[in-house]
Amino acid sequence: MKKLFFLLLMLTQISFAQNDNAFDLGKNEIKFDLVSLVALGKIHVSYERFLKSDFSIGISGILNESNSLENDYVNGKSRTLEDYQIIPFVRYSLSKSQVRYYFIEVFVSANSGTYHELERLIDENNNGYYLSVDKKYSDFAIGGAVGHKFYIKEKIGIDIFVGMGKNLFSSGESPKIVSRVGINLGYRF
Amino acid sequence: MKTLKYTLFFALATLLMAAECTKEDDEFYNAVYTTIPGLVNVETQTNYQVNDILWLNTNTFSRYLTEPNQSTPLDVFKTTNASKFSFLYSIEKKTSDNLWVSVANENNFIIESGSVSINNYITAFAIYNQVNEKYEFRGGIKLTEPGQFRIGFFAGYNGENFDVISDSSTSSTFLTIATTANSLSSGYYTFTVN
Repeated sequence: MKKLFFLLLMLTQISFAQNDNAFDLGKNEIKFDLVSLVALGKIHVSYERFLKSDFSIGISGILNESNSLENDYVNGKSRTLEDYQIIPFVRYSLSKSQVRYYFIEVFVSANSGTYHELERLIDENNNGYYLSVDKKYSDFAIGGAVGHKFYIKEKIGIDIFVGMGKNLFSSGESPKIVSRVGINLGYRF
Repeated sequence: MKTLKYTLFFALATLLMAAECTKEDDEFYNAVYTTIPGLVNVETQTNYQVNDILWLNTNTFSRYLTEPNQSTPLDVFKTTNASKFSFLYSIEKKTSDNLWVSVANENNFIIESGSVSINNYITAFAIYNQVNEKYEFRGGIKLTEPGQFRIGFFAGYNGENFDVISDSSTSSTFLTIATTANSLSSGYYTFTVN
């Protein structure tokens, strides 16, 4: 799916020719990531506030509801299972157009979840054994992303982006890296 | 300037995509490495004659093992749920050219307990016996010709000794034990068959 993101990112550059005249699209946008829901089982919603024509701030929330990710975790195929991420971000447009532009983003992510840790336990017969136990983690990541955004009928925004952040306080509990990938469908007002 | 921006943009996008595709958040966590010497025993003799059998066993490989720096025994069966552990070794003969060549094959190898897979080296499987709570292997090679021979083990995860590895299922803990065998010198037991 990540390759699909990148392909779409490239294609929109040549396939979407639209008027670049600046006009007032509204300063607020709410958006929903359908692809994350369908492909990853994650609920990913965002709000973006446009402060200037080339500068915006926003916040995203990601809630993991994926059965397949949970199964992978339970079956020992993955070490961590993310519960949620809260991601404040700032975006800077690289283009003059407001209806079709590339952007770069800096974000921070407060993320939390569950992880496996092996512990040596003692049983009732005073013998030791190792067992994977579940523990909670919380961490704070900082990272960057790049993306492409365009509008249909001046109200419906689509942004495609990819990026990653590094958890700052991971010492084996939280994932070292958090992903920032999505295809948002938004409404600007 | 615009071209530079977009060049940098796509370079960054490509870099992030590559990083996304190769990142490994979920490194393998479910493995324990420990060192417990003496799990393999070479049944040595003072002299060897043609048609003798040189046996190798895991008679001391109990379910409960003394783990370094721990006050309680390690229950390896409860840890791994493994029905067997495996380890590798070789039996070689010195040729007239001073080369060591593998001599084990299915015709001259005898299995008393456990099982083996024989290629250029021998993969021995010590199988769990619920009655005596041991992982059992006893295999012997029939010495069919005179000459100088050696039994060798492959260096383990810690760079020395050799490894005995649990045959665990995905959801169970994988246990790798760096262990030793008796009578080895620089990783080999060398002997002469008369």
